[in-house]
Amino acid sequence: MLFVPSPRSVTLGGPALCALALILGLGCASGRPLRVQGSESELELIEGLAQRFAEDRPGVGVALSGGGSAAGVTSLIDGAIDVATVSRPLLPTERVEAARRGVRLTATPFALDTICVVVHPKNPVVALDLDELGEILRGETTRWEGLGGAGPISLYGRPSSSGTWSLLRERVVKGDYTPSIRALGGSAAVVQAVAADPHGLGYAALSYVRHAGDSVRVLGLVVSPGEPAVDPRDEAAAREGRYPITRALSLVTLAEPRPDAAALVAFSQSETGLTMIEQAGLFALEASHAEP
Amino acid sequence: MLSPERSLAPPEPAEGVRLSAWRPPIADAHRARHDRVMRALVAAGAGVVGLMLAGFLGVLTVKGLSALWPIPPVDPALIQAAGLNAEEAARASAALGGWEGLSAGLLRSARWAPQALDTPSFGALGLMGSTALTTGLAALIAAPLGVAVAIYLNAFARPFERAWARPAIELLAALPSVLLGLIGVSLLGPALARLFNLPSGLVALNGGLLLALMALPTVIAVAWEALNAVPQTFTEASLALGADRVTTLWRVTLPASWRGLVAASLLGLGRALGETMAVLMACGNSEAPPTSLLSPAHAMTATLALELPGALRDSAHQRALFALGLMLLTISLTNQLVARRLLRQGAP
Repeated sequence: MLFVPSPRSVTLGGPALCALALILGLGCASGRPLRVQGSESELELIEGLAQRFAEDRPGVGVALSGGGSAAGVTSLIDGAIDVATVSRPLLPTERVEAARRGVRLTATPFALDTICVVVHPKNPVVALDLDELGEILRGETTRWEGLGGAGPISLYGRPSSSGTWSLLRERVVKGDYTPSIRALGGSAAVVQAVAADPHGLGYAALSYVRHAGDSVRVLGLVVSPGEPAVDPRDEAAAREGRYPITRALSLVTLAEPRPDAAALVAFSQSETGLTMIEQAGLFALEASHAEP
Repeated sequence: MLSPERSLAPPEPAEGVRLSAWRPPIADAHRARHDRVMRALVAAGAGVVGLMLAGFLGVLTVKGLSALWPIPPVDPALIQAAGLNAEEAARASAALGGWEGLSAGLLRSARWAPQALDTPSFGALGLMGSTALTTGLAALIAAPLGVAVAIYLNAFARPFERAWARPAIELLAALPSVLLGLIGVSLLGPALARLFNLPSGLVALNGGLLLALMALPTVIAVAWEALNAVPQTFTEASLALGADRVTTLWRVTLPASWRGLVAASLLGLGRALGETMAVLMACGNSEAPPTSLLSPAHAMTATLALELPGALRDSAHQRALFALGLMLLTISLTNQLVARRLLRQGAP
C-alpha cells in the first residue's frame, strides 16, 4: 500500500501529512512502513517509484512526504524517517549535526535533474547569462529593460528548506537572495505563479517545467560570454555538465539502513527504476556515474 | 430511586444470619464493577488528554524560551569529524553556534534571514507585521459583516432562512483551508492582480480576504448566539412601547449583547490568527516585510510550516521558530481568554 500526499502544489504541510500518512500506513501494512521524506522537486518521481516498489512487495507500506530536502535530512538525522530524498549535496551544517549525533549517512544519486529558469511566454527574453541571473536573484537588477524586456522583474522561488534554493544559491547567487523574492511551496506553485505574471521570473525543477508545457518559457543559460545558451532540457548538456545548474537527486539513508530502505535504493537503480526516471522527464543516473 | 431489593445497602439481617456474610446480589456487584471500570477508563482518557496538553504547553514553552539562551560555539572536533574544508567549517560554525541568544534580535529587527550566508538574522518584526496585517484585515472585514449577518438572522430572517443558515455556516466553517488557498492562488490572486494592476496577486490583501472568509462562520455563530441570549421579554417590551424594530435593535438588543458581539469578533480574529495553509499559499511569503496590503506578506504560521521541518534540532533557527510559536500561542491564548471573559460577563 502506498500513501501519498494529495495535490503536489500543497504538499508542504510536511509534518501533518507525514503524521497522517504514518497513521494510515501503520493501519494497513503488516510491518512499520518505510518512511520517506524530503525534496519537493523529486516528490512526483519518488511517488511513482515508491508505488511501483510497494506493488511488488506485499506487506511493505511506504509513507511519503515532502517539506524540502532539509526536512528530509533533518528527519533522517532525528531518526524519524528511513530514507531522505535530497536534491543537493549535504550542507556543512547537516554534516556537523550528523557527526554530533553519531549518525553516518550514505547518499546514493539516482537521477540527474536541472533547475530551470522560467519566465512568462510573452516575455521577449530567451536567455540570460549566469552573471545576469545572479544579479537578478541578489536583487541588484530589478528591471527587465537592460535584459531585452520591459517592466519590473517579480521573482518567485522556494523557501530555504528547499534543496533547489540552496543549490541555486551555491552555484549562481553566491550571496544572499533578495528578500523581495516570493517563497512558494513547490516547483509547481512557482511555475503556476510565473505563468500568471508577465513580469515574472522563477526557478523550478525540470519535471515540473515539462508538465507546464507552453504556459511558461524556459530560459537558456549562457555560462561564459560569447558562448551559446544552454537549454536545461538538453540531456547531453546536463550529462556533460555544460548546463550550470545540474544536480544529482539522491536517496540518503543511514550507513546501515533497514533492509527495505536499502531495497528501495537498489530499486531506484534497477531497470524498472531507470525507465521510470526517464519517463518522468529526468535523466537516469546509473550507480557507476554517481557523484560523491 | 432504587427499589429496596436492588439497593447496595445491606438489608436488615434476618434472624440467625451474620452481617459479615452478606454479599450484594450478583447483578449489583456486576453493576458496581462495571461503573468502576467505565469510570476508570473515562478518567484515564481525560488524564491522557490533560497530560498531552500540559506536555505540549511545557515543550513549546521550554523550546520557545530556549531562544533566549546562548548557544555555545561548535566543537572543533565535530567539524573535523564531519570532514569540512575551511570555508564550509566557517559557514557551519556561523550557522550552528556562538549565538548569544536571540531575544534582542527577535523583537527588535525586521530582518528574517535564517539561512543567510554570512550573518543569519532572526528578526521577527516583519513576520509579526505580516500576521497583524492579514489577520487585522480579516477581523475588520469579518467582524462587521458577521455581526450584520447575525443581526439579520436574529431579528429579521424568516424561519426557513434560519433553518438553512446554520448548516450553511457550518459548511463554511468546515471548508478545508487548503481549498481556500487554492481559490486564493487561482481565482482571487489573478483577480486582484488585474484590479490593482499588480504583477502578482500573491499579496497580503489576498490572504486577508481568505482569512476573513475563514473567520466569518465563527463570528456569525457566536454573535447569533449572543443576540439570541437577549431575553425575548426585552424586545417584546420595547415593541409594546411602540418602538420599531430598528430602534429596538439599537436601543435594546445591541446594548444588551455588545460583549458577546465583541467576543464573537475576537474569536473570529483568533481563528484567522492560527490559520496556516491559506496564508502560506496566497501571500507570497517574501522575506522582505510588507509595506502595504498590496505587497507580499510572510505570516508567522506560514514561516513555521515552511521552515520548521528543515530546521536542525536545537539550532538557532529552530529555537527562533519555536519562539515564534510561543508568541503565537501567547497571543491567541490571551485573545481567547479575553473573549471567554466577555462572553461570561455578557451572559444575562
